[in-house]
Amino acid sequence: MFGRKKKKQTALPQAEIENNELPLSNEFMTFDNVSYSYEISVDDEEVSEGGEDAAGQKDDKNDEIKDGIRYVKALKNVDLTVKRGEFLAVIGRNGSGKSTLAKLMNALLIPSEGTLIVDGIDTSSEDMEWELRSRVGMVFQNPDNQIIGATVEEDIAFGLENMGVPRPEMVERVKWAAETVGIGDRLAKEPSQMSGGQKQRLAIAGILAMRPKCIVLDEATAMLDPVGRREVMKVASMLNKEHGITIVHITHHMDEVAACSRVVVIDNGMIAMSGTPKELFSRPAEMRACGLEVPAVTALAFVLREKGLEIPADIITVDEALPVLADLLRAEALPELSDLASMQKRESDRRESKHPYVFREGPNSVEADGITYSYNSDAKNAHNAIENVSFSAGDGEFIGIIGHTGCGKSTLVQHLNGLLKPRDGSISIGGEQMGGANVKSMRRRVGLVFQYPEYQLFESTVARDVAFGIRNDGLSEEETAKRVDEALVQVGLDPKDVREKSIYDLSGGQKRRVAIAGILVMKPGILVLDEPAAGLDPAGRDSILEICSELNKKNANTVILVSHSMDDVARLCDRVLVMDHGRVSMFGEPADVFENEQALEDMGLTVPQLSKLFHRLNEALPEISISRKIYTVEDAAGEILALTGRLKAEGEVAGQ
Amino acid sequence: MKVSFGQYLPGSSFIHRLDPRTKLLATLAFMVLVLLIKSFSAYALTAVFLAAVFISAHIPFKYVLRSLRAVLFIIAITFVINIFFFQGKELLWSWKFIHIYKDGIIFSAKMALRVISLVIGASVVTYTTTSVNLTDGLEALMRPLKIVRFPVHEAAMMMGIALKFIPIFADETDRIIKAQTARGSDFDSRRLIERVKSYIPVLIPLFISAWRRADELAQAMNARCYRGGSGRTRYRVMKFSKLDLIALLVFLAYGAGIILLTYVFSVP
Repeated sequence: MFGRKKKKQTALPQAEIENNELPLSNEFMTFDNVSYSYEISVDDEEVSEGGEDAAGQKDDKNDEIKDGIRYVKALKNVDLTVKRGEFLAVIGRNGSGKSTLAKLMNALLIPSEGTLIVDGIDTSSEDMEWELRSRVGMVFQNPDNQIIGATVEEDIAFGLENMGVPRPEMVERVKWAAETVGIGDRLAKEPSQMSGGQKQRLAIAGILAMRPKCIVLDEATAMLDPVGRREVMKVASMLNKEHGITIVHITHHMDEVAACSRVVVIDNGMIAMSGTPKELFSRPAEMRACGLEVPAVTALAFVLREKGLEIPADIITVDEALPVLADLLRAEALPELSDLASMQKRESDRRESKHPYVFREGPNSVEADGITYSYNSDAKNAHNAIENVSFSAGDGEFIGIIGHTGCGKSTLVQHLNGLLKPRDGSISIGGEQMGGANVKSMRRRVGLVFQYPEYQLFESTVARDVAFGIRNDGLSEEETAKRVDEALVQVGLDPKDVREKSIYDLSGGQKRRVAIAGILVMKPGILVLDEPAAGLDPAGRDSILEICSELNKKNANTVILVSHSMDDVARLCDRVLVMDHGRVSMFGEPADVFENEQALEDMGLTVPQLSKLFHRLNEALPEISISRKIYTVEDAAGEILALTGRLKAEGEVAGQ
Repeated sequence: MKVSFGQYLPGSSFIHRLDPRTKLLATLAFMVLVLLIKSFSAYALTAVFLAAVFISAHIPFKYVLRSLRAVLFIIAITFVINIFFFQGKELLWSWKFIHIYKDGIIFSAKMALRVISLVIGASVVTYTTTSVNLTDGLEALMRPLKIVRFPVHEAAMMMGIALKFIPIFADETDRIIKAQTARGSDFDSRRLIERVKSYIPVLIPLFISAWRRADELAQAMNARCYRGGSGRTRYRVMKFSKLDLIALLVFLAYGAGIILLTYVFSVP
């Protein structure tokens, strides 16, 4: 696995890197017509062929079968130059080839065709791979699967040990690297005690100690909460600016992209777009075609431009949007529409067009009353994971539970179907108190989808796995098949295509849908989902959230959605429950919750970009009554168009 | 879920701070000495020695009992069998085929004391040494095995990684059990076959996850230039200190005491 052990090892030249000497050339990496194919041995021709046709996801053009080996092209004829000192973002949907691109950069993979020169080294030259890896470091997605040392300092030292750096120098470098990423006070601590963001910074420190010229972050922020993501981004841009380290950042988060100096979009193994964040975001249609999204303010600017307002297309932050919109409204807002009464009318109209929240008790209502739970039953060390949590979800309501990692939201939802028993307090489902003998029957009424549910699939085929939850219900085979098909349809999969497929032939997003179907098949009235969109690309995230919304609207399911992203839940939820340190911090309708912008940010949560923008607009223009209760692009555009009198005009046109 | 692996009791006592190699070698020597003991007086000395070690390591008395609990059954069985079947001179009591001799009681008691001493003595290392240090110590002591091509570094690296992943897998097992429970798995079935079957949906995902983690870890190690033990320097160094010298002297005194009591003075 770690081949080439016998090769003689030499300490690597460090001086040239330290002195920050003038680079020989401006280009750090040059991809020249690079392609890469994965080899998959085809042992069961029939099954895989059936799979290909059915999925419609796998592009046949990417596959080539030769001598019983299938070559899947992950990258096709890529030409790309990464400049020294650049902060490059690489984006694209799941499975587009981003990770393959990253792994080529430090010779974890070698191009199948074409040449790749990194810092003057051809990555295919075998004897240079270790030298290359000490110059180009890589941070991976899962923090737990890349930490090797038992303590922080030992983990940072791991790469140096491998390079054969003498111990006195090693100690110095470890200390320096830890301090640079801001974990200098934790050298002797165990990594398992750290937060996700700290673990990823530790991983960066481990690379930094090797004095690299480039750090590749391979979806390093995908598993982190907003606080963790910010920590990692801050460290990355500091290393880029102050230490001149080239950063290649692979991500699904568009807010991070905005902070990069250049962006490359990969789609289907090819470079689809490239340019500055501003250039790319001003082409929202193309971005969406690649399964990506643009920041909400950019989307707003675009909608407004389409309606004939004069707004630059390259707005990507709140700070850029604020003066533009403020000027626009100052000049164009109609006085008769700018008073308090008409604003309130607009607000109430919007509220009514959605389905306004009314608490209804019914079979699918949930009530939690003062629940307290502690993982440590030892009275001495009792630290409550959640404390005195009370909330209610009406029949058919959509509730969002928000909070940073470790705030107790996962603990809370495990109470809702009796997996955990509260130490104090009680839970009622449909007015019936949970406890004792009825826990098992109650569990059927509350479907709980765990985080990364695809990791719990285990059966040989999709149909068998989905049917697992109803296998003991005494249903006939036909009835079971019918229920399975229904559940698959609900998650947006075509039963005919996927039913008999092996779960290992599915893409990540499909696996997650199958896992959700495995819960829906039990027909729970209440559906609880713990971060169902974690780690998915924007398109995948939207479609999973769309499924949740459909189940709520069409199926009249009560849905409880756990997330750490405000943007995700705000547009779907009737009410939002904000958790902090195991307690309920806020509970109410999204617009009211977002009023506490500062408090939310102190908790490490983000307020939707548009909510922030409209709060600012409202404050900047006291003479005009601008609604503060806005957090979706649709509402934002509506408000501005209404204020400038354009909505009305349009409505009349539409009405004629 | 928190799993404490091994029996390490955090602390900073004299014994805790000793080099793991010292502790491992002393344990080995202690075991040999215990096997040489023939008299109660030497056992008394051993008891005093162990008491001194436990007190200086700040290990509460209940932990001494705890480490014995596992072997209590074996001690009891061997004790009884020895008493019943030992043939001696001085018959104390007999009933039908059971004869109990005075020598038998003495022999059985010494046997029991020997096992107890061995277990308690060996537990000192595990109570006072972290798994990491233990691995380091073992690696250092096994280094001579390299001559016979035994991959000492690789074995130690594997052990270290395995130890690090135990709590992660414990967490994961817990999560998968909960997830399958949410899908109607019943892990409390009374029938054994049902119960074993109910763990299949846990073991398969766990196995797949282990595979995935191993793959990712290998890649991460590879990306940080890991290529086996040769040419590698070490961040964590073990150093014999004055403490180790003191420990060695104390231990030598104990050893000399045992030898003197057993072979020179033959004190019963």
